[in-house]
Amino acid sequence: MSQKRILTIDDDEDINLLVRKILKKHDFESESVSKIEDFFSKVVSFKPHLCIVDLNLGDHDGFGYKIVEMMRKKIGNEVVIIVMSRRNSEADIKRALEAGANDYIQKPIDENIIIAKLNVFLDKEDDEVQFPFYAVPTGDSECYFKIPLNIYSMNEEQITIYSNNYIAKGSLIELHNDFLASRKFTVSNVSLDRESGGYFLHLILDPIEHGDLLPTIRRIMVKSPPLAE
Amino acid sequence: MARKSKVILIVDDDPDMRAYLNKLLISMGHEVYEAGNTRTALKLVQEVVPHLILLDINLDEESGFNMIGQVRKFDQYHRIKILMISSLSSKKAIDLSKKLGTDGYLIKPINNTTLSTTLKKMGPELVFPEARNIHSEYSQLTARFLGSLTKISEVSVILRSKIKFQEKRKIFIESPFLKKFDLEKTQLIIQEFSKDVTPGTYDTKIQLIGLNDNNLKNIRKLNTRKV
Repeated sequence: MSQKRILTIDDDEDINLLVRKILKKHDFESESVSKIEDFFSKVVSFKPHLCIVDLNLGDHDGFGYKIVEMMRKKIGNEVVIIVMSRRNSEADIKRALEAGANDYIQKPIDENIIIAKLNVFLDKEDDEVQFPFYAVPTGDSECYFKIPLNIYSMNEEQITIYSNNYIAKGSLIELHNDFLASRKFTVSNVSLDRESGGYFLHLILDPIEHGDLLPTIRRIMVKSPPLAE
Repeated sequence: MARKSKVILIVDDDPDMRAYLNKLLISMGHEVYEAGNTRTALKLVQEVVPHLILLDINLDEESGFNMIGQVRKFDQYHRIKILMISSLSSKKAIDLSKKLGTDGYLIKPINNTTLSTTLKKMGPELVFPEARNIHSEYSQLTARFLGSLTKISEVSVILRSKIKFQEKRKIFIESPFLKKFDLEKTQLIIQEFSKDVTPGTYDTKIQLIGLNDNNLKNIRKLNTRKV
């Protein structure tokens, strides 16, 4: 597999040198620039897979954000961008991520952290750099998570939802939108959509538990146009 | 397989007639609503969305006609069926039914047998076609699932759940643990596909994005229970 190319910009040449050393050690091809003027021409000539951008470049405080924004505008989302900064501020991190950065690392640079992130974002297997995992105390481990989904079809017996990801039969699922308002359902059946590789989740409507949803469901059924022939 | 019990609206200005039909339909297992005039009837149509409307045409032909027009405005694809109730002869009823655009008729006096036979014949027509082209206002939703966070490192956290992720995406997690560690605002991204634990249970590694050194310090403090 060909080496991944990393481009770093930091006005501090020592940082650039350090990063290049770390990257070389882990089998990355790397280049660095210290001047803003040189950055974009390097992007064009070197074609990096990932850029590491210092947020506080020289006199231009915050020019790092501009670089991220410009990269997204000019090049798009293909190139991974990791920003770095000495500052600890949550606001900085948020701003960088909103500008389009993929991640943030704080200086001084931790070799393990930067390599771990590079590996993840560039889909690179690296058994050398593995972070130890710590157990989450059992009392605190329960969580809820949310993902957006779409209803594929509905009738008075069941609602069928389309999901890119496999959701096991028997899962308890809470649905949130205006008409479903946090109602709970159990996934009664899952089927594969061979065309797209996604899944159809079938949720059976219980006449007692979900009976009050039926008039709205009938309304939606009455108003939905027929499929084009 | 569609349910046998249908939602039926009786529109007749004669309360005895309404009560009579109501009783018959309930004994057949249907869900029944009544209206004595077209205004109430239209309100009910929009509220309960019946499969079938029994409409007394002596309500006065013009208002009956208007009511049918209004129902069709609400139900532009003609899914709600309308049976005209009339005291006319069969032939006249057929003509009127055609003229008004109803789906059939019942001639008074209506007995149990006639009613149940007619409904049986209409059976498949009283099932609304499955909705496929659903407006995004109804089709888009957020799904919330229970899971558990089992392990955490300086760059990721493991979520155990019944979902096997096979796409890279953002995810939102509500967790007292993340809150305790001031990580509740942290962006969470799935970059790798989930791994099987047991059938129906999967571990998903979730990247912690944008941690500052305070966050990292707190995570390292968990070092006492290395996994």
